[in-house]
Amino acid sequence: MAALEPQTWSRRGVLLGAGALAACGPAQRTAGKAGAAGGHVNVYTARHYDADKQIYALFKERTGIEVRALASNGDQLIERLRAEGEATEADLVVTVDAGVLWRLTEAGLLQGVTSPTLEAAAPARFHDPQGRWWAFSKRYRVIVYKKGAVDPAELASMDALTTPRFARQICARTSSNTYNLSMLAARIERDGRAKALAWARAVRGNFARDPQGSDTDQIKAVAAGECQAAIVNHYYFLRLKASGDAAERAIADEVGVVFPDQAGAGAHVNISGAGVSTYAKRKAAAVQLLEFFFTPEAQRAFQELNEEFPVRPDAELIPTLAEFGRFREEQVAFDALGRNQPEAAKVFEEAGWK
Amino acid sequence: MIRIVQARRVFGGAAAVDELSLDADEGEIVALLGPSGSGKSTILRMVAGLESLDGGEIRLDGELVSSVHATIPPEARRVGMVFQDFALFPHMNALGNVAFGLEALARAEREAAARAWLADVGLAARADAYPHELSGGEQQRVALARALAPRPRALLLDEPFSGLDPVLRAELRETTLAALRKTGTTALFVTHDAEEALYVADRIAILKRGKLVQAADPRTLYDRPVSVDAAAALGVVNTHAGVVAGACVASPFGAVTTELGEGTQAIAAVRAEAIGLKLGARALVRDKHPQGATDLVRVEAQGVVWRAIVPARAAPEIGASVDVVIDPAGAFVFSRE
Amino acid sequence: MSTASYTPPRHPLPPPPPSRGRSRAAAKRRPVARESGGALAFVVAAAATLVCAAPGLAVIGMAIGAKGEMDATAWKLLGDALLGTITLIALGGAAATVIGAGAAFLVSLCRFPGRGVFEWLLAAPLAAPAYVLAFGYSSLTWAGGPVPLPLTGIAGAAFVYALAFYPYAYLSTRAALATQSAGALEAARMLGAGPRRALIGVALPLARPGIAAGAALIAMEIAADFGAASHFGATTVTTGLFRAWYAHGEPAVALRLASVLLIAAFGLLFVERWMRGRARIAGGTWRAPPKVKLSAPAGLAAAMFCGLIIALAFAAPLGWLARLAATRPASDFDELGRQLLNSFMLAGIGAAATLLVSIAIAAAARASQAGRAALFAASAGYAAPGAAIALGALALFGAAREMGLVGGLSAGLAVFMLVWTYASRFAAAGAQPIEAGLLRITPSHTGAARLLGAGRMRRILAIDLPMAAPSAAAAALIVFVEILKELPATLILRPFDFDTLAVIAYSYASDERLAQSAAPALMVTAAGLVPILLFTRRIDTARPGTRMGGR
Repeated sequence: MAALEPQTWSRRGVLLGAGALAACGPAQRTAGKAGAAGGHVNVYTARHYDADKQIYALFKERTGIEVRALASNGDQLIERLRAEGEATEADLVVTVDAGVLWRLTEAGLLQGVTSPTLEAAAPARFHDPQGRWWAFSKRYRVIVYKKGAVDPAELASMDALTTPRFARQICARTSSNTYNLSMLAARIERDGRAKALAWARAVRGNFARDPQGSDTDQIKAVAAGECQAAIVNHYYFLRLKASGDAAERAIADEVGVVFPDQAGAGAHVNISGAGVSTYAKRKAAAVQLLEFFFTPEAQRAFQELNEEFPVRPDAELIPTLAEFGRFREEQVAFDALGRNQPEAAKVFEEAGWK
Repeated sequence: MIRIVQARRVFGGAAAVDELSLDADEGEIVALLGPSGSGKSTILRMVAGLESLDGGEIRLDGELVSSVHATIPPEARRVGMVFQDFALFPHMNALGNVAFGLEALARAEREAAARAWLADVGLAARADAYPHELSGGEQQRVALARALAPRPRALLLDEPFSGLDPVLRAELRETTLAALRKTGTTALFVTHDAEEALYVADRIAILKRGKLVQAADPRTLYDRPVSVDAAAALGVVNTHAGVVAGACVASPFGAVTTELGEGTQAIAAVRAEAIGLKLGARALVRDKHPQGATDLVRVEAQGVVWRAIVPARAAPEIGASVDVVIDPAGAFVFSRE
Repeated sequence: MSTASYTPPRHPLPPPPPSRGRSRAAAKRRPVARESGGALAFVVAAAATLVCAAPGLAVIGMAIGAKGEMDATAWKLLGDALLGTITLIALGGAAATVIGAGAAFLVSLCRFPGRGVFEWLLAAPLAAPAYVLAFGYSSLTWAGGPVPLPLTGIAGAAFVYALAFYPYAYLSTRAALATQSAGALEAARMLGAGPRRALIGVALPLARPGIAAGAALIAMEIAADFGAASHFGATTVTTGLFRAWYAHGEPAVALRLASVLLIAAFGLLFVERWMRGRARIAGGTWRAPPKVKLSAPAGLAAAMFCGLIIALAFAAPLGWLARLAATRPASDFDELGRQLLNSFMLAGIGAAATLLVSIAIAAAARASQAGRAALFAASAGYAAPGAAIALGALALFGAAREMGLVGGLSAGLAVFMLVWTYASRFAAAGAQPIEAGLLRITPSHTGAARLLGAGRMRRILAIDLPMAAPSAAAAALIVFVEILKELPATLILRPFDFDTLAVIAYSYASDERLAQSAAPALMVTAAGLVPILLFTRRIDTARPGTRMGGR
């Protein structure tokens, strides 16, 4: 951990990482197809991460296929795909949220893909039965708390946030945020609407302030003592921890992380996934890129460059992620996240969670 | 040369120009004189082709240029115009403005011609100046040179001196007149200043509410006006309505002779400068305003006030009793029937 | 030459009596016989209007045609959204107007240390997008930042709006004061009015249309802003639109909100046009009004006020972002050059195309009533949120594709669609200064040119275009800067592998990598700054009645 810490996601770190990856995977399966393919593949992506650019570069190195990307908001990409219809230039569509995958699927914008490679790599739960979407990385909604003020044992479950113990001690971002919506959508699936509403209402009752800002802002607020706990995606904490800015690292030192509900439903998990566009012009290349996301080197790159958890069960965790230890994750079907999102938005609104 | 026949122009139901006929002969300078709203500018714009006709026709050199059915566009008329606001092109210097209408000439000729025109109006040294760098008088002269340069068949001037001070005005009047005479250009000249019209014009057309009141040379117009309006257009007149009796119309200040039939309802009009005052008992001097060479004197008789313009030093004192002498050359009677 | 070529239209009003003092207003109303321009102007106006209004109309059309019920939650969202927007306009808009108009009064009417520099610098924050200020301020003042201030929620958004949008009020008030007040203020002083009375009794009423026009622009900007509002967690019509769309999965509600916004924009626009229209008739030449020399303490206070505005709206948030950017490794900056180039390319093409549409609209507006309507209709795009307009453009593209008129969104078509969306959004911003510039071409100029034998083409080339050129240049600069800052349409409609500075800044920021977003955000601002500082000089020459000098 200490060895990797200073440049986990800096450009320098990326290059080092890439070298290491190349060294550890000399017999790449995709590499064999390199000569045949060449050309390019077009990607619509809701992931505007530097990590992805590195993975695209790796992909080109391995296959000779150039990845041309258009990064935008997932739902706007859906509108663009809809408008383009069969004329679309997009071959692969990549998202950061299960809800968007569901909406893409519902709109008929993704086509089924059968690939032994993919099926071997992604557990059944992490892809559409018809092969229309495949999740390649995971992110968890965790609780950060102020060290010293809170005993992590007090936050064993998300329900703890509803207790009087945390009255006026919770920070949260707005309910328009996709990750909040998916989290509540999963809860609705699990516990039903009424309980989900009660939970949201109670958490909202414990807010220290009106929702605002980003996940990182919530962590900073906890560190500054504006509140004692907040719900954030795990990687924002890791980024602060590995920041080049000493002040940000100090913030990470002030807070602890809890993967909640280990005795119950498990920590809420969301996925990044991709599917081949229904009207893909370069379907073979798209499938190839999709498969590449599941190669050990890409699965490792998602971890190293973006602090996401790999979907491949056999992928080795990098120390930063392994440090969280083993934990249980929520087992709600991912299409329920998308299906229930509109309901979740209404529940949030009813609960008064802005 | 310019021939306007029964021209008519209607704006929103009201005739701005009403059945108006007027000619200007070759080289003649005709002034259109009238108050605001008399239609004089509209006539100019109709001749220019900037305004269409609702009736009648306009000919230039016998060529039909405007009728109800057709209007030759201004750019094809070979008519020049000096606008009231001069309308110099602000992005061109004086030379460029004057050369604008000389497109047909080769470049060098064009510039030489434009320079010559600028020299004619006394602006040879200002050729490179932009309009905003020129004084009002200089702008007017550039506008004049610009309008004359293409050798138009006729020049139209829309109150070209109205924005200038009196001294400059007199000077520019001379310049303009000289340029027109030199080129023998037929000109229509709009003004509301009688003195200017008298000074510049070969012939004056008096307009009122879109109609021609009278058109004649200045002398005739002054001496033989056809109506009170025609008389009043060239100076202050005093009027008195009455009935013709004994070949004259009586007024509190004296009788005016007439050839109208006995018993005709008539109106007497007497030019202020045709009234002489001498000590007497008939009228009272109410007040007096010096005008330089003359004084304007208001005299009252039987509750009626008339104005007299008399030589300055000959004017009686305020409050003096006077007799009024009417010069028949400046006294007219018009029928009211 | 042939006769019988032409019958000019009849004019409804008699020409007003000529009078020197009012000659400009009078000349404007005085009809000029026109060539067969009526029909052409109508066609041009109709085409330009269609180009500009089509995406917005598509949105309204979709809203009407959309399925989906407005349930209680949707109504509540609509209510909250309206309340939020109105509150923000009332707070942030009022503050921006007061700051902008106040600063304009100070630099226009008073003499104090640094006035000349401030007059120029006060326009600079126009280059900084509101979302950049929002990111800068949240990072600066929220937990973990060095300046703990309660800049949150509606209050935070209002604070950022006040600083981001005050230049609109500043510029329009300054213009109003400079074109209206010089003579009147001198007269007031001659009549014995003290500075205070001259200010309240004369300058304020004269500048009122300018202030109101600026306030209307600010209100439109606030209503259409997404970035800052969503960052501060404020529910507005625009954030509500996206919430309905993304979260509720109810495009119908989103489209209805977009329609509300478009219709409200029309209302604001009407106010703005009306105010400005009346101001223009009274407009004179650009002449600096007489200035009062402030006492030393008052002068110092004035300088501090102006300095504080610039510090708050520009120096502090951008300086903080610069500090953040400095923590990044140099390799971060590798791609910025290409993205800057992309930004310039899009803004350049977009501004050029928008300018053409703007000129067509402005010329048509000058030529006919239909044209005036076109200008008004085209203006609505300016107040609509960019994403809604982009959505409308996408829908139109989809319809065209289904009819077989176009294929996929290739790079070329994508850029075309983008440029169209820009034209639709910003044509009005360009048409207004051009229209003002065209007003300097009086009917007499046209008449003089015609009488000197110039046909239509020569008049356009030799008279109209050169005379309108300075204002067209100013218009192009405004549009260029707006496109540099533009985000939502660029985000959704751009081609593959084509990132602009604004897109990159936003992407990093939305991924919570603020330090990485700082450099592109600063570069957007810097890129816009040059044209804006140029423009503050140009605005003087772009005004009607101004003499063209300095050749």
